[in-house]
Amino acid sequence: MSTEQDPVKDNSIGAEDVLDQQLPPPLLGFPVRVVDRRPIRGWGAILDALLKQPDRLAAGLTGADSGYLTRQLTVMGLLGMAAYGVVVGLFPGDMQIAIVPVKLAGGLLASAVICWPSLYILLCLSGGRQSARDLTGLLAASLALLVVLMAGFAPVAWIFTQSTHSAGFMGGMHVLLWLISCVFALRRLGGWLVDLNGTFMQALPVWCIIFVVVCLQMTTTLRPLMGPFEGWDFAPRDFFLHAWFN
Amino acid sequence: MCGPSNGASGGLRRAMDPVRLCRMEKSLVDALREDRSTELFSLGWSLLIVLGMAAFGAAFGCWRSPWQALYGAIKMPLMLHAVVWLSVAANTMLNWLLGGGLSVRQLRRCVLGAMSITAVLLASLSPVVAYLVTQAPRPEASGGLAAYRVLLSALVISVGCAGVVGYARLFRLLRALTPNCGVAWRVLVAWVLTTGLVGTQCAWLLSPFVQRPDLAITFWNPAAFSSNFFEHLWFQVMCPWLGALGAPR
Repeated sequence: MSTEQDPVKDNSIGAEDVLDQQLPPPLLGFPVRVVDRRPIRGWGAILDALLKQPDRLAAGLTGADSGYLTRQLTVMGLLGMAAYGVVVGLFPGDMQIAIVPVKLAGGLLASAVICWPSLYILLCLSGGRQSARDLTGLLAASLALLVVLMAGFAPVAWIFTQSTHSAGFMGGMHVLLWLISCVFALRRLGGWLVDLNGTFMQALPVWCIIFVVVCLQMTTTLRPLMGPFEGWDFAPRDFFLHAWFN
Repeated sequence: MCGPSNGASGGLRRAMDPVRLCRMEKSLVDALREDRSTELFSLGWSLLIVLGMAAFGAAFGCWRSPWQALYGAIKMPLMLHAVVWLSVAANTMLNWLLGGGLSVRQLRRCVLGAMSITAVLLASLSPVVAYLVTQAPRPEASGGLAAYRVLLSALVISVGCAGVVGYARLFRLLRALTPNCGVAWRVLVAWVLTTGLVGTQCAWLLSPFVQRPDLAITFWNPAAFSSNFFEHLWFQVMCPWLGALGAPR
């Protein structure tokens, strides 16, 4: 009787190593790409997949787990944005600590809802084959990544919040951090779509511009974010560039 | 089992499927090449134009007033349908001269398809437009005229770009209907130019889609039959520039 143990069970090598060992050598020098399709359960695993295993997450979002992952990523994104909103709200202080998180989370959700139809149609025009449900999941994942990155920047923003009194500087800093996170998130969305469709989605850059403009305008709609609370009414209508520089 | 009425409504729903149209799926291209369900496609795409352009026109018009939104919702679909019908003759001639060999019916369906894609794209942008329009300074505010200029420019650029995208997406269909790739390209470019020419004049006749803040809202353009789009563009845009550069006007 053989006394050999299963290498995976005794943790001497990982499941990925076993997968690699079972694969035939690459043909004609083309690397073989293996996508891990094990289900992703729990926020820790989702966060891990979001940051380190984007292919696995994309496979989950376009597979049977699509509904579960989309819901979890949406909740994660909204809560993360609210958490970053607390840091933003610390600058004006008082009631804004509670109100800015609600505004930022709501603003992100509203921007995603407003921009979703154009994303879907532009992708169809570029030859994308994703269903509306798959695309919703991919968008939720990329926005969750945006929020996770912003949460990572939150301590940096907090240090500046404690040492400066300039609302202009702090506003500019938050926008800069948001733009940096947005570049990574939208690049990831583009990467997923290229992998899933096998071709670059030509219309995606156009949609990215639309999304950025809508989000920046949302900061003007929801103002004051850096100043004291002025009641629940919306601020007077204005374009964001005009509002920023006046 | 589906009855005849269910089958017809299902067919219409399928013909109106914007995703299938935008992806220009092979089944759709094959159906058009083989002249199957042609009337359903024409009806479905006409309805798509009506719904899509009404949403887009209303989104822009709501900046000025609800009446302007209503007028925009009526005039925008009218404009696209007018472009389809008025450009059919010229497009047919050009198609024959360039070796396309499409029948008038096929050609009308192709142009209708391109305009439907344009309408779907603009409809998908309607939520963004509606949001930005509700954030723009009100017409009666001090920045109203500047906002009007921005919105009008955005309207012209978005309709123009969406029109070009609609025709570009049509290439796959044209490639299937014409003898070779070169002919398909030539026919496509000729159609884009013809439709652009017709479209600008139709837009001029059916303007204003967004009325200036200092003028009363009217359904028809009072100056519609005393000028044209290109004269207006020349006198309103080019002449002031040339004057500023010191050139004779």
